[in-house]
Amino acid sequence: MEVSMSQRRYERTRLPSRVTVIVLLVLGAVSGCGEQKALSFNADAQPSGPRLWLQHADTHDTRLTFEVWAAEVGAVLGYSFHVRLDDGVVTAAGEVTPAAALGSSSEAALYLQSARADDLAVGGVRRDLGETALDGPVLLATFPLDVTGEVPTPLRVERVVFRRAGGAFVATSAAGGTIVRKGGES
Amino acid sequence: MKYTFCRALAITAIVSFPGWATAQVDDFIEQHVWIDLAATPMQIEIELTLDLGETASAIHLATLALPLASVDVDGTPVGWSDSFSDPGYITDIALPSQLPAGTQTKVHMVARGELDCASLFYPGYQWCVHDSHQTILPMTSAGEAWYLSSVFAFDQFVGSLTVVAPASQDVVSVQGTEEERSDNGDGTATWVFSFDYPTDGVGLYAGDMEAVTSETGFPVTGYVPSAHVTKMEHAVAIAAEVLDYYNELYTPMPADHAYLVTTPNSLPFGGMGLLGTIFLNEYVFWDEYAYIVEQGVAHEFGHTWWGHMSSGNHPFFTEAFAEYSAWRAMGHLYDDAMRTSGSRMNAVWYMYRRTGNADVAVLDPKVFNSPAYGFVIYHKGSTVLRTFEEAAGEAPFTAALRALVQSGPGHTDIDKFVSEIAASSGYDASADVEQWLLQPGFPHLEVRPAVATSATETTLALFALTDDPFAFNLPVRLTFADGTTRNESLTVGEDGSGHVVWGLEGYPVLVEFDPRWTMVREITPGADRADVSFDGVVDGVDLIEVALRQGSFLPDERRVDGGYDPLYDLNGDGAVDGDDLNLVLAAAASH
Repeated sequence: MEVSMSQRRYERTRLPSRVTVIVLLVLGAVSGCGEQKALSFNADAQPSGPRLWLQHADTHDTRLTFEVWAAEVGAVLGYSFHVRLDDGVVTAAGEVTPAAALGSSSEAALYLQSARADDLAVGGVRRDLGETALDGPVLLATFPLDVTGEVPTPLRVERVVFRRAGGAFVATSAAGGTIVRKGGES
Repeated sequence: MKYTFCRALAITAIVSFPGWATAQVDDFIEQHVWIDLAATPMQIEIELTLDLGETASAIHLATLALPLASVDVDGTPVGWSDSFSDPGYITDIALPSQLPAGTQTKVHMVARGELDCASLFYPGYQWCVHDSHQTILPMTSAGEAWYLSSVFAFDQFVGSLTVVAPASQDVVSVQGTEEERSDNGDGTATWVFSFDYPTDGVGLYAGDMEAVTSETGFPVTGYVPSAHVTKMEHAVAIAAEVLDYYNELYTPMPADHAYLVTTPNSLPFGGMGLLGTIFLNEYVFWDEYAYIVEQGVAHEFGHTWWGHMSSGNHPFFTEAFAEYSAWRAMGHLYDDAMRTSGSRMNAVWYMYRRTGNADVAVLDPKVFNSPAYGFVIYHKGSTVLRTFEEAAGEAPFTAALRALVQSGPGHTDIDKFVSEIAASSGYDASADVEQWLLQPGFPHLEVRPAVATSATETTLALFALTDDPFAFNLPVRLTFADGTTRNESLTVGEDGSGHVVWGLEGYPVLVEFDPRWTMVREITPGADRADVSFDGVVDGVDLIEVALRQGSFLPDERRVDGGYDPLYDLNGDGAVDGDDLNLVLAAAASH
C-alpha cells in the first residue's frame, strides 16, 4: 500500500520523541508508578474441612472485588461472618451483596448485610427453619473495596458462624488474605 | 375452660371464710369412714376423734354432701345446726357440755340420702359424681364433704375407709392401701383401706372405666373412658417414670401402687393430686389439650410429696413445690431444654399475663383473694424455687427438699425452708426469701455489652442496670464461633447495677443471660434492641437467634408453652415473626 508523505508526517507526530520516552522511563523508575495499576490479592492458604474463604474476583483500577465462598459445611439453617479491614487503606465501595445461597426469594431466606468502616458483616437464614446443604463450593457474598492507601493490607475473616436448624454451631475454619501490589513486596 | 391443677383448692377457698379469723383449730387425730355406695339412699358413717383446740360448747365441721341423720359425741346424741357465719359450708355440732381445750372427743355421725354433687364454690360444676357406673369423690370440700377435714388448717389424721360397692366395680381409695376385698354375695363387694400415713386428703373412685396399667417403672393404674385408652397408656407410662424419679429424688412414698383416675368434665378442676393417686379431668385427654397431659401428671403426682407427705399452711408449699418438681421431672425424662421450657413458660405467664396486671407477694396473706393468685403461687412460686436451687446448688437444694419431706405433713414453713437450705448448702436464703417471696414484682434488667479486641486478647465488658429492688447473680453463657461455651455469672448488686470485664480467648458471638430460665426476669439489650446476641453488633447471629424463635408467641391460655421469650420479640407485639426479623435486617443496614 502506498503511503503519502503527509500520512508519514502525521504518524510520526503520534509517536513519543526519544526525549519523552527517556523522561517517562526515569520517572517510572523513581516513583514505581508503573505498578500502581497492578493491585492484587494474596489469599491465605485454604484450610480443609468446613471452611469459608475470600477469593479475589476482579480488579479495576484501585477497586477490587472479592467473593466469599464456603464448602463442606453441611446442612445449615443460617450463617454469619465478618470481614475486617483497615479503613485507613481500604474502604467499602458500595454494598455487600449476599448471594442467594439459602434460597432466592424473601419467603425462602433472609440475608443481612452491614458495612461499617472497618467491618463488613454478612448473614443469612432460612425462613422455614429448614436446612440447606453447603457442601460444594458455594458463593455467599460479593463485595467491592477501594484501595485508598498504602498496601499491603490484610483482610481478615472473623466470627464465622454456621448453625444447624437445631441451633448447633458448626466449627468452621476461615481464610482471608492480603491486598498487595503485583510484583511488590507482600 | 378451667385449667386448675390443685391439691389445696378446697382449703384455699375455705381459709378465706369470714369465720377464719375467729375459728378454733381443733386437732384431728383419727377418722374412720364407712360408705355404702350400693345402698339406696347412700349412707356415710363417720367416726372422728379430735382434740379440742379451745374451750368450747360446739365444734365446727365441714357440712356434708348428704343430709345428716344422727350425731353423737362421746356416745351422747347431740344436735346440729347450720353455721351462722358460714351457712351451707360449716355445720355446728353441739357438745353435750362445755369442754376444756385439749379434751379428746369422739364424734360419730351418720348421713343418709341423695348425694348433692352441685359445687358450691364453682356454680355450674359438680364436686363429685355418683351414678350407676361410677362414684368419684375427690378431696373433701366444705359444704360438699364426704369425710371430715379441718376447714381452718391443714390437719392430718390416720384412719380407715370401708366401701361397699357393686361387685363389678374397681375401687380405689386415695391415700389408702387396700387391706382386703370381700365379695358379699349380693352383687356387692366390700373394700377396706387404711390410712397409716397421716393425711387430710382422701379420695374415692368406684367404677367400671377401662383400666390401664404401666408396663415398666413404678406400678401405676389409670382408669379412663374407652375413648381415651391410648392417651391414658401414655399418661400412665409417664407417671411410672415420674414416680420412680420422685421416689429417688425425695424419699419413697408410702404406697406401692399409684392410681390415675379420669373425672368427667363436669368437675371444676383440671387435676387433683393426692398421695399416690391423682384425678385428671377428661378434657386433658382431648386432642386440643394434649399439651397438658404430661405436665399435669407430673404436677399432680408431685403433690404426693408436696401437700401430703409434707405440707405447710400455705399453698406455696404445695402448688409451687409441685410445679417446680414437675418440670424437674420433665427435664429428667427428656432433657434440660424441656425443663427450661417449663420454667420459661411459668415465668412468662406470671410476668406478662397477670389478670389486670395485679401482683402480690407470694407469701403475702392477701394472695388468697388476689386475682394474681394462680400467677403468683403456681408460676412465680415455682420459678423462684428454681432460683433457690441455682443459688444453693442442685444437690444441696435437693437435700433440703428431702429434709422437708422427711419432716412429715404439717411441719413446713418458710423458716424451716430457709434453715434446711442453710444446713445443706451454707447458703443463707433469707435475703432471697425477702425479695422473691415477700415482695411482688420481678427485675427488668438492661445490659450493655462492649467488646474490645487486640492482637493478643479479646475483652467483654457488661454493664447491667435495673430500677427494680432486686439483687442477684445472673448466669451468663458465652458462646464462641466454633460452638464452644464458657459459663460465667454477673452480679447485680443492691444498687441495681452490675459490671464485669472478662478476658477471653476469642470473640464471643453469643452472650446469653440466664439461658436456663432460673428466675423471673426480663432482660433487654441496652444499646441496640436488635443485638439479641449481646456481642455489641447486629449481625447474622442476631438474625439466626430471632429466626430460631420464629413462631413463638405469648400464649393466651395458661400452661401453653408458646416458646416465648420477650428478648426476641423486638416490636413487642407478643409474637416473634417476620416483622422482628426485618427489624434485625434494618438495624444491621443502618450501621
